[in-house]
Amino acid sequence: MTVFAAAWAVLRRELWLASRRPGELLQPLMFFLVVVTLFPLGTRPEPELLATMAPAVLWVAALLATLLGLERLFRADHDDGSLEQLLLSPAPLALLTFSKVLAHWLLTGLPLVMLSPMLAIMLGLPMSSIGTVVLSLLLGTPILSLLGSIGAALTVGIRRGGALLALLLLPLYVPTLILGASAVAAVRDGLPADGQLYLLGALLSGALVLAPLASGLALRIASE
Amino acid sequence: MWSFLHRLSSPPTFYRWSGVITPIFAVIAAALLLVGTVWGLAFTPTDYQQGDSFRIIYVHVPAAMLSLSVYMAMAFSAAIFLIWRIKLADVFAASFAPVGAAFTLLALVTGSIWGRPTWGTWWEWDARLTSELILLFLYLGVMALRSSLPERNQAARAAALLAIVGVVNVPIIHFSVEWWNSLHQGSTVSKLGRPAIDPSMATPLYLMIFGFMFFWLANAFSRARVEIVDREQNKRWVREALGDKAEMQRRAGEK
Amino acid sequence: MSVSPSNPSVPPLLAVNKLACERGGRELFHDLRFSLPAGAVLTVGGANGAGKTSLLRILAGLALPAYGHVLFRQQSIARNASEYRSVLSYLGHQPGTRRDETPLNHVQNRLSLGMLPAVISVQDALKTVGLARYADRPCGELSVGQNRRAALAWLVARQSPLWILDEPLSGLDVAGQSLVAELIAAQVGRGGAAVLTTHQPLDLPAAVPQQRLTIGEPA
Repeated sequence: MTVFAAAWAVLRRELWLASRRPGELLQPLMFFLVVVTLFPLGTRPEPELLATMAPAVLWVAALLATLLGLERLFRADHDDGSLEQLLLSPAPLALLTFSKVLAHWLLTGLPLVMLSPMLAIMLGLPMSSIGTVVLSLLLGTPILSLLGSIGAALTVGIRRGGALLALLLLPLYVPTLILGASAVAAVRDGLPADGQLYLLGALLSGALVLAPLASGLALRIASE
Repeated sequence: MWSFLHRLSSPPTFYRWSGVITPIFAVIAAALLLVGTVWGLAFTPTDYQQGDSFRIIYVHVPAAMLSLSVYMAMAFSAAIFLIWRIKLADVFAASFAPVGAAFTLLALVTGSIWGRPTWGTWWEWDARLTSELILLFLYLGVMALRSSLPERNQAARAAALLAIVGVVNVPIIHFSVEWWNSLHQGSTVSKLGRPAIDPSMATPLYLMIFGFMFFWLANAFSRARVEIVDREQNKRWVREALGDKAEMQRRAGEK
Repeated sequence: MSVSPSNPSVPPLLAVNKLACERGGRELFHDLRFSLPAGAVLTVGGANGAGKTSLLRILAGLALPAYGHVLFRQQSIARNASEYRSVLSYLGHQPGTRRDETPLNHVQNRLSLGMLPAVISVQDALKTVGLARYADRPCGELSVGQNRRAALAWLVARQSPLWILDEPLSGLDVAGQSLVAELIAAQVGRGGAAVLTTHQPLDLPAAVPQQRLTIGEPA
């Protein structure tokens, strides 16, 4: 019985449980779609105007959709006692936390990435920019999930902690938002976005290493 | 040396020596702030570009500088608390937060006031003000988290972890906001950037910076004293220190 | 706090000294000590809210004490947490089963998390606790008592040296309660140890060495 068997068991369980309730998987996706749809409705739906707003709209909507899904990352485990089992596993908690976040991203972030081309077109972005849209979200949504897990872990026992979660995470999300949105804006204007994407990659690497450690500690603190 | 620090950080000892130091800090702060304000407002030459409105830097710049320093100090105390479990470090971290948040708010308000005569608007998304706004959210988050958890020790550890996560992110946030601002402003001169300061204007600025610093220390220490008394309220030393008459009579009777 | 004396020559499996706990600003207990050797059971009693669950969580390493240490084989559990967790099986108030999971899934998952190989097969464990027929039904369709039995099946399959059980009898019928007594007796017979809280009396065979600890009584 190795450490990776434990991590795999956590991942498998999350994915299997989510598959039992497919309706819940659609929620962040629908939210993403709805938020993006609201912006053109709130202004003149002219292609140039929409294309100007598009990077920000896409990214803020993805951010909000991720926040929505974070609530569920640890809450159910906390409520039924499974979180204690996670904390009492001999396997390193950071690894188990990483499994949970990976499952969360596969179920929330990845679908957002896959829906993004359609939304990008709806917002008037040129076809040539779709690749960067997808790539920036592909790099950015895991960062949002990883950083978000820290906030979710800290607030797991707090009733109606959704607003608090947003307050905690928004400052942490700012760099990712800035880099991601400006990458999309750059390609929309025909400029290269390599710098932004590399920096997103760097943030992702940092988050991959540090965030599970922080959220593991946060889970222990929250369960005291 | 460690045992000396250990004794210093025991609550009753801290209460005693901070009772001496805090009024001293308060007096120094009052003196520095008074001299600095009067000098800056009345006795420095008028800036040829901005007129008299530049004088707000005597409040804005110290507030902004200290808002960041206090956050670092808070995160540092939080780290000491998390690693070595020294309760006094958490008391400090909890005491620094409200002052730091107030300084941040002051920096934002004075920045906005400065902007009005200079650029004609009450708010500009320049790098400094935006960073200060995000810093305010960081402070509010730590304070809100601490107050949302009912168990005191748990709340302390959670707030400490959040402060540390925040401080790690501060350079990243700062860099990304600067970069974002440079993309959209064109010119690289920050509108609220410190102008080349003539020595005649600089001294009151330094006085104000130190005055703010001593204000922070005085305020934080007096909050810390209240916090310590609150946490230890059931212990005998608190009753003695606060001069509980019945207790003192009882002790006198014992002797 | 009253503790029945234990044999001083046997090295303790689990021991605490001067343990103190604070919750909600008040002190639940202080200066608590006990020494549990292998092959014995410690029953923790006390009124509601006295701090029994808090004590067990501290023993499991889930919560921090206000003062004092928990020693497993004379080493602080904080020092070698990973090793302690591989010998400890903890059951909290809630069974920990999810509505959509089956008992079979639940036990398998928990075994993987616990990183110890199953001593007996999961099917046999489920048979021992009387869930053989329900092994593939979602736990949401089973009763509270059956969910608790699913958790007990994990204990049976894992068979680690130390069990810490918080109210293991709650929700169980008479048959379930005697099942728990049998399991604990078997655990002790293997040379393991168990710490449990319970409001109801536990019918252990007289041969099982028992200690009793009551929180909240003046010493």
